Amino acid sequence: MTARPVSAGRPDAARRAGSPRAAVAAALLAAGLLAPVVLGTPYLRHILTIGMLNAALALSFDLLAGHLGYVSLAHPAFFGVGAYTAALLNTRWGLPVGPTFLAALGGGALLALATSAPFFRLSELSFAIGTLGLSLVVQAVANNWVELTGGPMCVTGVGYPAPGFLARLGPPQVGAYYVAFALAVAVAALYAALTTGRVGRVLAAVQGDEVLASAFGVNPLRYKVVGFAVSAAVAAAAGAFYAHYTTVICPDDLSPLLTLNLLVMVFVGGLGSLRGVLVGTALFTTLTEAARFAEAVSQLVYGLVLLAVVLFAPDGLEAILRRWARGRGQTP
Amino acid sequence: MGAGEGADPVTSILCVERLTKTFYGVVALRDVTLSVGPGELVGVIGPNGSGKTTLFDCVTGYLRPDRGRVWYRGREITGLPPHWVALTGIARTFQTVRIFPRLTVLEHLLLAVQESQGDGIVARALRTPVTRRLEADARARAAEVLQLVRLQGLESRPATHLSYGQRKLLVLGMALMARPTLVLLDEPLAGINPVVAEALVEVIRALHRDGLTVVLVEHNLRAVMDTCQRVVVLDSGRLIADGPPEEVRRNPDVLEAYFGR
Repeated sequence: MTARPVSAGRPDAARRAGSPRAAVAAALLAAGLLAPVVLGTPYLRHILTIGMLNAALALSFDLLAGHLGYVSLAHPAFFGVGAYTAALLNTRWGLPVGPTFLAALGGGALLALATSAPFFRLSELSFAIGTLGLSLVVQAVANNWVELTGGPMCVTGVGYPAPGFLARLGPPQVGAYYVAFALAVAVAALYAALTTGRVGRVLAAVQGDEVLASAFGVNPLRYKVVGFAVSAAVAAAAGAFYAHYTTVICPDDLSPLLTLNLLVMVFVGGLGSLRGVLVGTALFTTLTEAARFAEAVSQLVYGLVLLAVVLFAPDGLEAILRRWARGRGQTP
Repeated sequence: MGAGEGADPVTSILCVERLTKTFYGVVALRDVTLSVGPGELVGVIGPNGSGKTTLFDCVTGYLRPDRGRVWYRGREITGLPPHWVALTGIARTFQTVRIFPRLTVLEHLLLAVQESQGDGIVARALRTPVTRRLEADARARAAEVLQLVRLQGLESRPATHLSYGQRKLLVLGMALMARPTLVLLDEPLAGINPVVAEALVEVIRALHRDGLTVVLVEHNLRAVMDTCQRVVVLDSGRLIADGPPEEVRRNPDVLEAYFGR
């Protein structure tokens, strides 16, 4: 990995470079707000909504993988805990949509805090295996604790996420889209806040050399646990959204396949980079949808895209974007 | 104080009492007792494997001693984790030069001080006014330290682009960022060219003049003899001499440890 400054507010050159970045962010926000108005069909709105959900999940995954060096395979577990928490509280105890998100967030964070002590005793590689175990356990619970989760019969009739004023915006999918959009924006802001400036600096130090970092007062475990809990809480909130949006949550939605998809989004886009992860997410979401129209060749196309990325951009598309930006900067 | 026998936890900056550490039966430190007074510049020498680095590791919490105690300014710190020890005001460097691959020179210096500034993760993420003021303080301090370790103009370089000697200067700068009371330097001169070595010795002398307490593990005997007023000799984990350089140089145990019988 190349050295990459993490501090926000660096002097002169970097600060000047910050203003076009702000312009891009503003343009993306405006595009996100206007998108459901411009794209009139429910199908396109659905793809956009799923894209926002994917973005939130991929960023939360990358917070740990790209900035602390821990590839967590437990995302389906946190996603599932959030989804089932929201779905059960909503259908069984009548908790309205909205508070269900907070409950899901708390549930995900709690599960992460409870499991972090043993997990972070492991090396980065064993960590992946340990977290895979957690995701399998949670899926098994969802499948087999039939009295609570309904098992393979799923939890059905979960409230649709277009509460209050959002319901008056037009078709319900528009309200739901804005909930997903707000989630993605909040997660992107959180990601930016935690990966730059004084927190980002500590994360870079902990990933780079824990022993050295602790000689300067950094408690590596504290930052890893916080990173894991935040990552889990976001995954759980995304799970809650998914349960509300599809109105059904089943054990199959917690499959380890989710992690595989996240790995593709993050590694194809660019590990450890906000822009890279968003580009990877957009590409993944578009390609998986496009593949539905050409079922026969979809696996082939998917494989070819992955192969092309591995061959031509082993550090992800972000590395290409960066090389391109550098080249443009040198020849004014 | 000074070349005295025995331990004095109350008036000394660093006090180590009967420290013992073994690794699978191999003795690395045996009953080492040592006091370092305020403002002293002490050199620790000894043949390879004599326990010098183990001593640092036991003091800074990277290793837990089997027996014995460590005090810092009258407080016992035996067995505290490294990040706690660091926050009490002890800075250390490592024998192998370690750097953070993703951080620039300036970011290394800022990182080295920010945990002692006391703003929490939430305040940092939100960029509260307090955090922004502390960051400005850190940057002002970093400008001073860059001057001191002669790395001005390199602050926005990734540390991976520095030469070995420059990395050693950077590491020394990091150790100074939080204005520590005690600095433990593990072979700061090893493997660097004479020009950078001279610069480093100059910096260490200047720190000593400013009243900082410094303990220095070093292989370069001449540099230690020239720089330190007090030299401690370890051999096979035992402290075999402790005194002014001329006295230590004539000590028969020391001659035997270095040159054999």
